[in-house]
Amino acid sequence: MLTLLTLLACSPVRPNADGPGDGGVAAGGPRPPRVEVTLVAEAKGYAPGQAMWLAVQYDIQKDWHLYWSNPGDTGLPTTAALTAPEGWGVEGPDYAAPHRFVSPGELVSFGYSDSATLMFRVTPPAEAAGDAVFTAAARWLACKEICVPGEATASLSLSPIHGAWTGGGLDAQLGLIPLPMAIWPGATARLDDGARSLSVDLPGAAEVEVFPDAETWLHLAGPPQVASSARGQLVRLTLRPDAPEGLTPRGVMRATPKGGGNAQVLDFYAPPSTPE
Amino acid sequence: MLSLLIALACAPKPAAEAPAPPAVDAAAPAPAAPVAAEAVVGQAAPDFTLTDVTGASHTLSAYKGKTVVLEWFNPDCPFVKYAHGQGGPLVGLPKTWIDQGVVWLAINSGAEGKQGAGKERNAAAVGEYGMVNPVLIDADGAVGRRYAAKTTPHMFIIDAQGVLVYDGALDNAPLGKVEAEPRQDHVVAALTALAAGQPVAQGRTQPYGCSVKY
Repeated sequence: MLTLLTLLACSPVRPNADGPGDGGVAAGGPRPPRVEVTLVAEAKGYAPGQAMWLAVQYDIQKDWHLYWSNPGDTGLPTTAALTAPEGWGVEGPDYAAPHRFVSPGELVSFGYSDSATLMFRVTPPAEAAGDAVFTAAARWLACKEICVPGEATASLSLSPIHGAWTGGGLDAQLGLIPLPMAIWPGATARLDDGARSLSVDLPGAAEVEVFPDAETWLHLAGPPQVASSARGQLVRLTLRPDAPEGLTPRGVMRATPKGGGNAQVLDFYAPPSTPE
Repeated sequence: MLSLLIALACAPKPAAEAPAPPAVDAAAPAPAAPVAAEAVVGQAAPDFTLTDVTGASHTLSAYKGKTVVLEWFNPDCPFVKYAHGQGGPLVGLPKTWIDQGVVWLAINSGAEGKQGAGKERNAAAVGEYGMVNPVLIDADGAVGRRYAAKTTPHMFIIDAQGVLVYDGALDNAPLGKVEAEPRQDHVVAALTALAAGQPVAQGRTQPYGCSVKY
């Protein structure tokens, strides 16, 4: 039986009356943004020993946005910490691929409007029994012209299912998080310039967006270079000369196939090193 | 409780499959042409001359022989308010280092009319925050762009030889919340190393905060 407990979410925010003035903020202050956080599961219950997905869902008021794990030039990452019953395995969060925002001064940020999704993979022990309660502690910075930090918790209780367990209730959300690059037919990755530059060739791609992870972002020599060819799209990220040894460009990409079809979110990473 | 309102200029520009542009986008100024940053860790820091809120002129190269800290500043950015507010990491920190011979310069690159910009607002902020260091006005953003200053606070440190040795965040605790234990006070660590004649271990970190209001 599905028991969904959701504690919403909006940090109460008001203009900082005792601060040294919020220049640029309209008289009376803007209305605080609503960010509602829910925790949902891919099935109505759990099967002992069977791994399953949970999603922390942030529903964002129109015109506001939250940030990806790498916020880019400005902002703060959206985060969630999941508490599971003792003995359960927890992996994650995996972030949905973001969109790109540009503000004056060519400052580039990565984030979400409308909704953000962070996914966790949880695994009950084989001997699990009784209701399992999960709590996600979520934190974010919501922005439009101004920004407001917020936090909330959301909970979910799942009962054990004996007999046939059916997952798949979060397939739409799973389509937003990165899959291994190798699932794209013919995808290849190549390191050049003493492993300072990573090129990814995606045959059959009409369009590719690349979002470097936080560590790579700090050390990039410039924005991703995307070149079109008859074959598809070639994407290249290059590190600055002063980037630390051992760092290779990585992140996620969103690729749209030629001739239409759904965009695919993929990891952007260096190929495993092979012996000379 | 944090009760913060921030005027970050982060007007969304939708990607190809993003929803319709939010209304705020139309009001946002057109982005300036990108300029390659001249400030590179390990190389000579770009020289500049700016005037502070009292009318005094400051030229970076005139401070050669001393360690110089540049703090990108906007008195109305919540990250700056936090850092300069009661118990914040920048309360008393400049004075501690100025007393040891360090030069500490706050720079505001906000364009006229933007949040926290202008001589008058920043002169008032010096009093509000009890600042002992000069606040320099870079209204056209030229110095900010040469340094690729992205956020407030975005910190730079220049050694006595005029070489840029640090470019990044104040610490790893935006708004006092540590991102990953242990807490790291990057600027303090760099200044401590320089004072001891040691190299700065971590020359670049990712700055956080409000966008600079170019």
